[in-house]
Amino acid sequence: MIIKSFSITFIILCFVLTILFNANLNSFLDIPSLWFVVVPILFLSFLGNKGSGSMRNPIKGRAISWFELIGYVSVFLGVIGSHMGMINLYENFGDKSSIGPAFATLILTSFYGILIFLFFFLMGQYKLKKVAIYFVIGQTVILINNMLTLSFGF
Amino acid sequence: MKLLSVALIVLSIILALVLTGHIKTFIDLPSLLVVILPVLASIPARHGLEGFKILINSGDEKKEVLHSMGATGIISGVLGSHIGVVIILANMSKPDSLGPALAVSLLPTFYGLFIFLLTTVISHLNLGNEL
Repeated sequence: MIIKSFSITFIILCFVLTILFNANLNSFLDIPSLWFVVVPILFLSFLGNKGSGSMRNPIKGRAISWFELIGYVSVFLGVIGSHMGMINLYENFGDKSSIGPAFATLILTSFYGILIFLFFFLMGQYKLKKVAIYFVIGQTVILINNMLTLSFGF
Repeated sequence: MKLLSVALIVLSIILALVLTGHIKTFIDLPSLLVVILPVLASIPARHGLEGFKILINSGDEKKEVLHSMGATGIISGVLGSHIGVVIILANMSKPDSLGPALAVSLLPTFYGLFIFLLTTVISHLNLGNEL
């Protein structure tokens, strides 16, 4: 258990150090997107913790465990959040002042979602379904497409 | 024979990079570190220190270890790309430097997908039983 928690802390620390060396930690904090992703995850964790048995074991009558369910929900919340950001971005595309918050929602919801997904993937002992991997790769495509539209669209 | 096919896959990708003449564009140390370190740390995180021993020996549990390595590679690569794009947006004073910066921010995903390809091929070919 010590080895497990130590290595998960090491992995999270890798990303935090990469951010700290290259940019400001403040650019990675956005309260609306944090609220959108973290609150449902906290609620689900509370629900899973209240039920009988370990969160690592399958839910009663279902094929997946609580850790797996929470991981998938966080990825899908990231996808939904990035689409919300896209809608806000393209609705007011001519107005330069509204681009920043919309693009922050677009990037940071999927960032938080995938970070939580990685955390719960490392905590549990399950094999990933392919759909989750497709969604994770698709986030890069969404990110790069919007970045190119933003940079060459003006 | 199986080892040869894995080597052929790696060589064909490297050859494609060399033939297009831009092999230097595909080497970037911070992007490599942000993928490789989580992939290595995912073995003790999911399987304990015995995971390294399982990886060297052959067996059914080796597939699980390779799966966790590949999945962590993809996820950390996508996270690295997100970090790269936020860094670009934070210092977007010079629009000329946007192209190369965007290229570098795509590299973690490339490395992650490469690791996922290797681990998938190795786990399904069942390497180690007969070399």
